[in-house]
Amino acid sequence: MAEVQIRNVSKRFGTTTVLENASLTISKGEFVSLIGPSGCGKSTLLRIISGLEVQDTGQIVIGDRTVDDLRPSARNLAMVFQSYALYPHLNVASNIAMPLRMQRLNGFQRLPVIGRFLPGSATANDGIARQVRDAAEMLDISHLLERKPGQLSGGQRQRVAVGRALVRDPAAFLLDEPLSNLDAKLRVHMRTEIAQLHRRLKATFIYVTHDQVEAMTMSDRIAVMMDGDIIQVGTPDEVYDQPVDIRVAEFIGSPKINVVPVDIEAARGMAVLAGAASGVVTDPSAVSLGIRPEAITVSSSSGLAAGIVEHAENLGSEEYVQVRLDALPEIVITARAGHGTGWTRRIGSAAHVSFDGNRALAFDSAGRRVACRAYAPRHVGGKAVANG
Amino acid sequence: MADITLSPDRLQRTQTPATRRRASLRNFKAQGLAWMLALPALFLMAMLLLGPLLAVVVLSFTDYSLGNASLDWRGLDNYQAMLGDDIFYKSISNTLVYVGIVVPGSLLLGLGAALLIESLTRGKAFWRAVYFLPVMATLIAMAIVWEFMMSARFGIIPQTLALLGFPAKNWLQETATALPVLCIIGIWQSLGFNMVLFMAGLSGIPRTLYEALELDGGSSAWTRFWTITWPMLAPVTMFVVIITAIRSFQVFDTVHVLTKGGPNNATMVLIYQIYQEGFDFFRSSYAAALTVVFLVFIFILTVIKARTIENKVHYS
Repeated sequence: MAEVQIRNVSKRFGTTTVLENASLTISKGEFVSLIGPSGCGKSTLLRIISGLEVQDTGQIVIGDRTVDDLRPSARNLAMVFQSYALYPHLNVASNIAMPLRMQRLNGFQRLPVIGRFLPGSATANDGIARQVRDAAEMLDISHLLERKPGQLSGGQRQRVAVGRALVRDPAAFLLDEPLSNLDAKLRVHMRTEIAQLHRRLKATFIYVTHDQVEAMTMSDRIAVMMDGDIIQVGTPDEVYDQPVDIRVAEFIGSPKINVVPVDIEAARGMAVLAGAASGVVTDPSAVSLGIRPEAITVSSSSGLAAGIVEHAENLGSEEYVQVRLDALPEIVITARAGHGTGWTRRIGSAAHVSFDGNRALAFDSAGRRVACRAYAPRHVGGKAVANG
Repeated sequence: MADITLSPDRLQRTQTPATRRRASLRNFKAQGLAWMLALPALFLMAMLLLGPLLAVVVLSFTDYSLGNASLDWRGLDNYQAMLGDDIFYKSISNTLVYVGIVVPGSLLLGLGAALLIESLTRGKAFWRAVYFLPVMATLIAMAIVWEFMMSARFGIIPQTLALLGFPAKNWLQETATALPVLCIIGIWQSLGFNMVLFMAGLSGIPRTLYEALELDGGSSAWTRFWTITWPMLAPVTMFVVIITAIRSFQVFDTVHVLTKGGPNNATMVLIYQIYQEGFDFFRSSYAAALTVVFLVFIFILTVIKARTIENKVHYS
């Protein structure tokens, strides 16, 4: 395995710019997710790393070697495709064996019947068969080796695709939305398996996904891409807690972060939310506050802003309450309430929301993150501070 | 109508003799309606397909000749005569040789043309049209053009070959070369059709398979072809083989226009012999017996097609 460097890569298809000067270094053995909405260029970037697509400018360095003039087959990368791309006419064992056969047998030794009797091919074939068995055992698909891909379920196909990737020792694993064709339950399961596989192999993984939960749960670091740009790279915690851009804040986290417009009071720099002092002091350029649902408290008696409970979802372990603010009717705040709080029975009734000032994020008009902090060190219900 | 689809065990649980009678009556009515609706199609099928077929089989056991008012039952006489007929053996072996050359020839050249045209970045439609022209043209008309081209005195082919030192002959009138020339014309004619089938097959191969192979380390065109293209085209190839074989068994137009089975029966093929016996010599019953033999060949091919295409070469 090796380090992978992306240096100032740009790519245009006709007049559309897909990647603009993207740079990223993935350390040896690291699991990095490229995440972003569809069309952000993440798949194109992965294909450029693999060599299936050629960049217009910039370099790809694998280990200490610039690979821009190498064909994909010479870059020693393993890729798991979204469609799995298994060879439908070959059984599972032959599918997994393919990269080894290409590596170790020459064209004549690969011939259907005659190839087996050529010098050297017997030993090579034995070695390949052993490695295929080992890989199959690791992925728990030993009983499927004789089947054709058409006879496998989605999850089994996925394992075969992973098996084909890990049977040799590639410089890095490239995974292009490998879980997106699976049903929800299997997706959660395979997520764990892939993360465990990474820990066991200690190999470099580059994982493309549009699912922020996958990225958050599996990665060492996440690279968030928007409109052909890598706008933030960081650990899952950094990206979640300290987004540098409102687009990152909105993309990461489910349910989505609440974004409310604020005015800044000149004297103290206090952000004013729906006419009430919010208890948060921000940079004067701030125009909105972002507050995660878990930082919001919803109460039927008192709070910073009043509203009506429009909808509530009971997930069992917790409830999500949506409150439409009286003062800002276009804003619906999503708050996380605890287990068994019973908000689903109070849809349509009045409620008050307040938030933890320490966890608020402020953004300027361009969507960039700007400084903000809670006005008072203690947890504030807003009104007390405004009066005091 | 929904009642008819009740599962048997459910019927058993609820049924009394009276309900059972009602149910079977309803069932009978539904079946009757189904037969009524199928009747027009069945009638046409019997009149146009099965009837003539049956007539041919029956005729082959008689001494009927075209224009005769009566006929006698002769049992297997016609088939016995066939076994002593040298021209029959000749036409069978010529037909098999023709099929044996035209099928692989038009298959390989069609596949080659399809691969080459698919690899082009521009002008695909043009080349596709060029190769497809012989398929669209009437073969009788094209055969006449071939006759001119093969003419010893002014045909472009013998004249060109003469420049290279070959004798200026009409190769269609030589016993040794007449059948091979017909084969070449047959290949020329069916190549375009096979090419179009292969192109459709090629466009159905997912691009990601080639990408996966590339990442697995297979980079040469040779490896791509043998690892993915050829096996993925297997269903199309099987279809092409069967269709071309059936069409080649039916070769007639070129023989009729260019050689009339000659010289010396060198190009006598099954269908042309049937035509001659039936319409030149008016031995309709013998022609019918030959037709039965021909139908047996076609039937075997159709069975092979049904068995292999439906069962073996699909991967899904």
